[in-house]
Amino acid sequence: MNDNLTAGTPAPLTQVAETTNNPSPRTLELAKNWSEDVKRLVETGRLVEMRELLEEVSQTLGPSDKLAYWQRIFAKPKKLPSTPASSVGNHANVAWIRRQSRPYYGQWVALREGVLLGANDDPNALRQQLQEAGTYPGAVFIKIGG
Amino acid sequence: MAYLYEKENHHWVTWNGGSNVFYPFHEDAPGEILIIGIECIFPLLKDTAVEIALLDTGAQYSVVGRNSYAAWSQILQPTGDVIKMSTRRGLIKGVLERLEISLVADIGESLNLETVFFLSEEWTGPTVIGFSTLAQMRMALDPFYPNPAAEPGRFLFGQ
Repeated sequence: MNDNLTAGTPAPLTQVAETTNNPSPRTLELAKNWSEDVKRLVETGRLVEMRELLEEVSQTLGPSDKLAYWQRIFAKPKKLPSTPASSVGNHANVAWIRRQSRPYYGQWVALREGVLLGANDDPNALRQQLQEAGTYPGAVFIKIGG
Repeated sequence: MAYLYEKENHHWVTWNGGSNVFYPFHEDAPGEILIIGIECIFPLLKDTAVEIALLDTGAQYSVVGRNSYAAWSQILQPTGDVIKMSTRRGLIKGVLERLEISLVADIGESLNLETVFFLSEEWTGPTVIGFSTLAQMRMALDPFYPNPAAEPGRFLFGQ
């Protein structure tokens, strides 16, 4: 508002335009803080509030690169086509576990593509054993019987 | 069982599209045990391999593990704001990105999703499948398939 205007005096057109376009306190606050506010809400897991804030920013301030980023990240999930099962090595490991794990119940075993590389009560000792034998890379460690 | 069923209009239909074993107490690195490990793969990474990720329903976001991060950083230029995330290894900085992930099946179909992942060069742990992925899918764990002594358990999933 122009404080110099007296009551009843028509304001010049330019001054009217400035008055109409004056941003509200909330708009000014949003423009200053929204990005940090979104980050804070994302970091603290308050995603419902974060989405509401993004919507308000979108309507109040309009598009921006930063807003587009956050909208893209938290957009609705994109469904992708499924693909046929492909876990071949795992099949072999599972087959070994099904057929041959009973004597090792309670122990840790190391497997690679259905081949037993070692077994031990202590996973660290088993790892050491494999490292010494040069068979550690690619080994899968499983405790039989949980 | 490898499939679960639900009733839909008086008919039983499969609840999940695929399943795989899960790895209880999987040793991901020396001294680092994943309580529940599941097989996953990032299909867009070149020369990618199946990795065993930590299934963590308590983690807000999925996290790219140390090995895959190196590969992602070759092809991805994150543009987002750096955020801080509290992890069991302390507070780390990184960015959020949407990435394609495939949960690998040995029976049925692998489940492919594009979900939000946290990428951080400060994260030295495994890939974590957290709630930003799990909230977009159905999943179940059956620790007794087919019996407790013979198999580590089965992870069933679908959309």
